[in-house]
Amino acid sequence: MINEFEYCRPKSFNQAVSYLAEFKNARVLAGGTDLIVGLRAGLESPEAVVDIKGISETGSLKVNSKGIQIGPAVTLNQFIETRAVRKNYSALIAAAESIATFQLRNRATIVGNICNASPAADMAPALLVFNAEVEIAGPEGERKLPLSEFFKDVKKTALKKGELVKSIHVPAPHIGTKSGFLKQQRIKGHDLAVASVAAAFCLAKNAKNSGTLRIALGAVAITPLIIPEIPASKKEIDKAVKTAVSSARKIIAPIDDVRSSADYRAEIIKTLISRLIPEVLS
Amino acid sequence: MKTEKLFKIKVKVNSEFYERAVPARMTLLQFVRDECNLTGTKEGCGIGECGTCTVLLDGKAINACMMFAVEADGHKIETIEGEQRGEKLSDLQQAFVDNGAVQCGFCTPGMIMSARGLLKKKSKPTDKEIIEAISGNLCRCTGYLPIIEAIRAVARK
Amino acid sequence: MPMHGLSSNNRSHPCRGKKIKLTMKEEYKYIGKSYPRIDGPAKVTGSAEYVHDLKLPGMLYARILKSPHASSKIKSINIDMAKKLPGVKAVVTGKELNYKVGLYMIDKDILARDYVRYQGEPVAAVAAIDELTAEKACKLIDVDYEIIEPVLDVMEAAKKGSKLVHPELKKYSFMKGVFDPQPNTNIPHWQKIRKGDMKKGWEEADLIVENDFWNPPVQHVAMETHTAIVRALPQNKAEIWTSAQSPFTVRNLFCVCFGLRHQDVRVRIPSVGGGFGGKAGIHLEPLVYCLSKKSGRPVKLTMTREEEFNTIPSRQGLRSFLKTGVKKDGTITAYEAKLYWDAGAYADYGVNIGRAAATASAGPYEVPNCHVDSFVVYTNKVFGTAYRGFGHLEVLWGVERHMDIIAAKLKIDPLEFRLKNALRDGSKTITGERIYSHTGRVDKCLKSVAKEIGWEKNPKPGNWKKAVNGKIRGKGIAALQKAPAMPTFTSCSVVIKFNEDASCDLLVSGVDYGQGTYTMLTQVAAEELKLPIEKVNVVWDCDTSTNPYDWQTVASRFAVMGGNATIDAAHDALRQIKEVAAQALRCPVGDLVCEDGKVFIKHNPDETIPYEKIVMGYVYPNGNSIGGPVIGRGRFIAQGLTNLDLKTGQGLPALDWTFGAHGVEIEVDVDTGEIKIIKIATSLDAGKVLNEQQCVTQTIGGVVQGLGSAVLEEFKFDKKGRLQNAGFVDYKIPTAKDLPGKFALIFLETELPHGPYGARGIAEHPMISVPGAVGNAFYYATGIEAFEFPLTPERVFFMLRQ
Repeated sequence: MINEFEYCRPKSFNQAVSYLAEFKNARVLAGGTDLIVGLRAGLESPEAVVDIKGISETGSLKVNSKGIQIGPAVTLNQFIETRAVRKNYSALIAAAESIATFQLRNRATIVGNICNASPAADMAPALLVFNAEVEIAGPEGERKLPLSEFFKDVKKTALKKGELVKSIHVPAPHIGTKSGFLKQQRIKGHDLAVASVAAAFCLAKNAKNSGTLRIALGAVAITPLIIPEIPASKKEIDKAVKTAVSSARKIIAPIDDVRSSADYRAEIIKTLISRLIPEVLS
Repeated sequence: MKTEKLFKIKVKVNSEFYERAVPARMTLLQFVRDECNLTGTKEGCGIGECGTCTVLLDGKAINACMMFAVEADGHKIETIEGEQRGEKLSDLQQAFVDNGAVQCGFCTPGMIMSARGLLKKKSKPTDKEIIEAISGNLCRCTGYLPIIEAIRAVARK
Repeated sequence: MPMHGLSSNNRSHPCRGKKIKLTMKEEYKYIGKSYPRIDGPAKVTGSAEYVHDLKLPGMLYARILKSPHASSKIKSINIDMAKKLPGVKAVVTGKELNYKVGLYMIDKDILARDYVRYQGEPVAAVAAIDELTAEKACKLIDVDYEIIEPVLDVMEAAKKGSKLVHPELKKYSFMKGVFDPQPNTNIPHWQKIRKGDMKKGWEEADLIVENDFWNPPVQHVAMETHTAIVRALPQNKAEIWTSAQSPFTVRNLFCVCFGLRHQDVRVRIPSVGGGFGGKAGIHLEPLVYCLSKKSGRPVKLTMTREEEFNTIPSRQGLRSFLKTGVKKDGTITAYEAKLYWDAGAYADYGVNIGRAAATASAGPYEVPNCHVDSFVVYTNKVFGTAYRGFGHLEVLWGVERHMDIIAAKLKIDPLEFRLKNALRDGSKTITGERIYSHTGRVDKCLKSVAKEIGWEKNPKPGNWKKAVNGKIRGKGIAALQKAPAMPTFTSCSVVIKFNEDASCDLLVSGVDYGQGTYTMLTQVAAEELKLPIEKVNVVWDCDTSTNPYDWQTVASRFAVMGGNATIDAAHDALRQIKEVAAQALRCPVGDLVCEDGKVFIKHNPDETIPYEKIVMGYVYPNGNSIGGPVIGRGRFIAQGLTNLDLKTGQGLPALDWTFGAHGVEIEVDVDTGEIKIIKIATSLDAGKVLNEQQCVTQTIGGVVQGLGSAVLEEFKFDKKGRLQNAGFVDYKIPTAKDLPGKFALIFLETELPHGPYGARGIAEHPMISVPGAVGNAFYYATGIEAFEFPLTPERVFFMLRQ
């Protein structure tokens, strides 16, 4: 059952920040698909809910030569259906498409997915391989943070009390970057990730085959993980896979939970890496 | 006991406007079923996993249980009660009846609304698009095939 | 009717053998045709009403407080704070409810009294002006638990000297002559089947094969959760609206529980959002009645989805130990089975499942010497109830896997091995029942699915290590059988009453919760009444005050029993119509024919009277009237069924047997463990397909539900016996993305002599051997034997690498 709460609908980010400061315990509402589940389960009972969809910039999705600017109310389906994103950011699209159901994707937001900070958050690995950056508004003003510094622990982000995400900036990748995302589920229908991998391969300047591989992993540690950049070549796919797998093994710390055993996660991450790397290197 | 604060909202549901004062915590599903007395939309889980509460919000399929009524202020909702075309069943409704796509019927309103949302976007969807549109609607009776066939029948026309 | 992926939709018409009913027609006007569901329009417009939707004036809303512990003593419950909360109208706890409930074993309190026996068990309930208030009040109830170490493993619980879930078992009343509880154990029923001479059987065997199998508890997952409204009335009367399968069972058990008179309790069932056996018995109604009595107002209780998984009963788990003796040529000589049903905290239907599934526990095969011990075992988990298949899916998993393992050891093709031993005309089942050719043709079912999947004789098991691009395929087959599990005195009745325009209303108490039963009955009534089908109506809602008795809508029995009762009622109506017409037309009754809503003299067809002029009484030109309102009464009770002997299990329990088979081709992704169903073929000996569209769609639904059991679904408990996946996030059922590539359906029509038009029930059967077929295909794909299901990706991944 959902308990009573105060409902605020600010018209600007400043007003949103004021509302968040006003209450001891307030939550931001955009898509609501994580919040409502938590409220219903009684996992939290905030004093107030601050609906940011009344702020006009929150629904803005800008794609240009500099990259993508994603407002906090941009829904997954809105994102998926944007041609310019589909063209150059395959991993982001694949990750977004893998989340929940069609109905939920009409409400759930990209920013919401990362702010919820589940270790299995699907957008996280994909955004990480694109070096995404978070723009934050708060009582002490605005600040920027690389996404790689955003995830702190299970369901904990770098957001301080009273702060909220203003937008995510995804810098445009180098021309010829190929990216991908694979997610292991228990079922073909909608499911949380048992493990996930995102990868982006970027050719070096004037190179035909060699470049850098950026890989990020989901659901195999308390936060999404980044594998340090790997030099790779289209002609040496097996080597790249081997390096990626051994790098992964060093940093993953999967757990046993109702969804999966730690052992299965550790094994599956190898399978996913082995299948994704050849795809992005092809 | 402190009286709970109520918010005045005006929502268009099908062809009628509903002006009500509702608590913030009331979901759109509760609003539709209890305030508008439109019980065609069902609750199967309350957490957006089963799709029995699917309605259209400004033409897009959503789970009514995963939205507060206050968020729907000024918006248009379409429920199963609005699907009929006057005295006749809509093409989708008739196709469900003709293709054996209904058994216990509890998932049916949500299925039809998901299908309607799809057909509004694209009148001739591919099989993949049909399955994507309804895979968030759980059904335990039909095994989905007759439902897919019913939607296909409408898409083919 | 075009169907996606259906490679063929043909019905074989095997030779019918001896025609027992001389008037049996080959071609019918309505029977066999795909009439669309009569409830279709109401359901597609959202106007069909479920208890989920009902509200009564002044109604209160209830919520329950559940135990967080799997086993504990309740030391005290303090409801003072809860009672004081504004808006709360009644709070009840187990201590004040001195009533016991039970279908066969009276072992359950309405609310836990001194002991809690499963995590999720209700310990208190509140009725308030709205759900949030009731929920808040529940949180204010203070329960002092003394935790007891729970008994969780079925084999541990079955041991002598195990901690007892029900220490008072010997004091419980139960259905004598049918069930055999073992005092001072966790065993509320021990079913024995003893046939032949085991010593001889083992001696005759050239090879003895032993295996053991497991399958975990699962949930029905009907889309409408359990919900009930009860209004307690003065003078010990009550009105009940419930999402249930069996109105008369609800009423009967309710009256027995509270000591009320049947005529004072009215049960009504509108549309039901799925049952699958989970709504077969009595569940929330007694508790809601207590709240209504205490508050003086009608009360509604709806289970949340989490409560549906955790509080409402499930399907039992099963551990089976199977041992078979075979000759070199593949003939089975002896069969021994020990079945341990993980029944959870209460007996409910569990004891009957242990009994009924035992009668089918050798599979559809001839077994001359047989020894079965079927133990229903209490554990501290959510309890098991009826579930589609009534134990047959669980037991045939082991049997069909076991058959394949034996075939491989004998180096005989699995299909040939099954055909060699298949039940046929002249066989005796393990309870001593004679099989006739009209009982059904499991051999034809097996052959037809084998053909559909391109079965190659003497398959060799694959080697998963040799998978190409990580994928490897294999094919498997499995047979199935089930008879309705029902008391020998199970009966059904139907009333047909006419309207002034000679349309008619059927009053039935079978419930149509998705199976399409009522649509089928309109076809039967139209066929027999010789009335256009548009003039036949089935009154949708069930009401024990107005509808004639039916036992329960379970067991795949209603097509046979309700169909026959409808035929009987139609004939009774025609008799009354003809009697009056004979007077009006001045002829012997035997000269009259009914056709198309009219009755006429067969040699003088212009001498005719339309039904309209008879069904409310016939009026002569001068005003004299004869006859009166025509009311057709029909009934059916199974002929010649006997109880099973308590010591030997011998007897005649089966109204009819439905045989079937599945054939499946799967592809295993060896690096993730995922199983993809390339094609699944299902064959059922339906006797007569009464409505093709309903048979096809119900079968597809059952097959998909069977796949859910086979590869997806299981309850996960932690070490303390707490259910970890009580919700859709972590309990997955098939979605539209999880379908097989292709379906093939084959309906055989071996006429059942006592079935309506030869029909048998097929409602449960489509899911029964799906896990067995998948498990068998898994071996031929990977070379690895499966002994438990579900074959989830994780389980498969590690099975391959063990």
